[in-house]
Amino acid sequence: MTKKEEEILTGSQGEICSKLLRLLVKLGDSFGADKLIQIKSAHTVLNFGLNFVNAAAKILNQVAKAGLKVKVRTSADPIVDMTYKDTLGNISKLFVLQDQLIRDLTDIGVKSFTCTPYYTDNCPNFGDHCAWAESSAVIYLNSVIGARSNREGGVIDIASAVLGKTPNYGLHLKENRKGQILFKVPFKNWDTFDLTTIGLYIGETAGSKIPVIQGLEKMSTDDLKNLGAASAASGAVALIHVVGRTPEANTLEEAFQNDKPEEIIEIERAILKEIKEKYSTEWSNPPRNIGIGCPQLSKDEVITILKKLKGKTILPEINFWICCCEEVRNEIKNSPYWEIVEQSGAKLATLCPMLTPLPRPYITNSGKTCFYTSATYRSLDDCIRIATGGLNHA
Amino acid sequence: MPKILKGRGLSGGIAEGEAIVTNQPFNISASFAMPLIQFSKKCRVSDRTHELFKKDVTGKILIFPIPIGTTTMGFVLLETIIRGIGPKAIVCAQGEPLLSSGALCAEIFFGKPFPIVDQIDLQELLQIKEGTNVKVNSNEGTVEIQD
Repeated sequence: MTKKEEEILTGSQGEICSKLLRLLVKLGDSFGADKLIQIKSAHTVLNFGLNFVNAAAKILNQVAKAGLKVKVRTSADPIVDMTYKDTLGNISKLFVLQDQLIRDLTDIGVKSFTCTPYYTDNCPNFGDHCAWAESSAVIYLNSVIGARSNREGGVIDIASAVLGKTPNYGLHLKENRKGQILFKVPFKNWDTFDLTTIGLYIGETAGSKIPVIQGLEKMSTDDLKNLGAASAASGAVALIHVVGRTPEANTLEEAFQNDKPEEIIEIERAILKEIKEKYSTEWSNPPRNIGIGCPQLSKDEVITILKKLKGKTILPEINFWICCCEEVRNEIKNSPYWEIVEQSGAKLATLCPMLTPLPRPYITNSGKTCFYTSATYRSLDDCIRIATGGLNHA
Repeated sequence: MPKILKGRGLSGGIAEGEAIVTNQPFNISASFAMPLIQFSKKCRVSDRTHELFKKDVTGKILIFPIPIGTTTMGFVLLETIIRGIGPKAIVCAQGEPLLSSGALCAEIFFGKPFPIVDQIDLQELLQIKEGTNVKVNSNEGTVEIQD
């Protein structure tokens, strides 16, 4: 520890700062960190005002009351979208802690409320050390951007943001970013829905190991986001290398750092149907809500959906949620595509469609949502067909 | 003679109780969020995909291979500790920072230590029968199994 860190620990910057540092030091000690390192960016999940965050909210409140501020660009997960408070009705009342959390987060300098901070100006560069929470964002940061973060959690993320530091262990070290399990995808004609499903399968198979995928060189970063989010839910995956696609896996050898895979798994097409059924909750009655955007959507993804919705109308008994960050929504609002939002009756929202308890039956194309909640798992095209034509049109 | 397993203490504190054991990875967020949201007095596992689904883990020593799932794990565990509805301690083969963060926050900010011990051979853990009395000492990193 540096002299300054020791002083903070003994209270030179107040009791709360000392406790936050103690938290990082204890955590680092358990996991073999040799020191604390400077971070460039942070992202917290301590934002969602449902009643299961009372204890963590108390800690945040102490941080804010002590007048502490974040030292690096820090964003937070999505909050309730008050644009749609009439549609959400009593649901928004469940978020009893929301106002307090937003006030405290804003006070300490947190900006942007989204699970996809990398679509805002909180987008680190290759090799940057970060302290991010939100499993889907961490896996994107490590895999797609090649910046480095462990899977941080609520409070630890705040502690790192306020101190500007994180313990040096885990994925901050190159040797711990080595691929461990090789997944081969031998078939070519996959779509986004298949890739998300492959994510669920990889997560449940890999657990906390680092998967390397061969055969998906052509996948988009959006698809990699959806695949990664699914595997971070069904497993504890924080980094996926895709050979020929992600920055630390230009070749198979680079992905495994010249070592051999511990295991090689060939993904058969037949398993996808099984996984899709396993994580889907089926209802016979028509849906009340359909949600796209868990994780929240990129501008390209929103445009793809809006093009498919052109000339169609969402059935009046269904809410069709298209979820993205405020920045992307503003871009769409200022584009010709906004007309399709208004004409179709879709709801372009900044909420989290997973943690917002939208009334069931609920249909989504999100592997992550289907893992965590009761939801019917369908492709985007099926979601749109049902939203505009009813269940019989799927 | 009780059997003593030596592992790594990830937090602080000592707890004793009945073991509940699973060989499936355990998703804390998916398992505990629902009982918390509903203000239940009991912590019935709400992860539909898990073999412990609907089982009450309140006051038990929860034993599993690895924790999995999204990064709300830490404050979900913290909340169960502060409300006193969750397990008394956790033992696993391989822990992770998110898991310990919940316990460390409880100790540092609320003065409520919650023992977690990891780095214990999974086969040893799976031999522990449900209901066996187990003492977890996170200060020493030991798990004592009564016979």
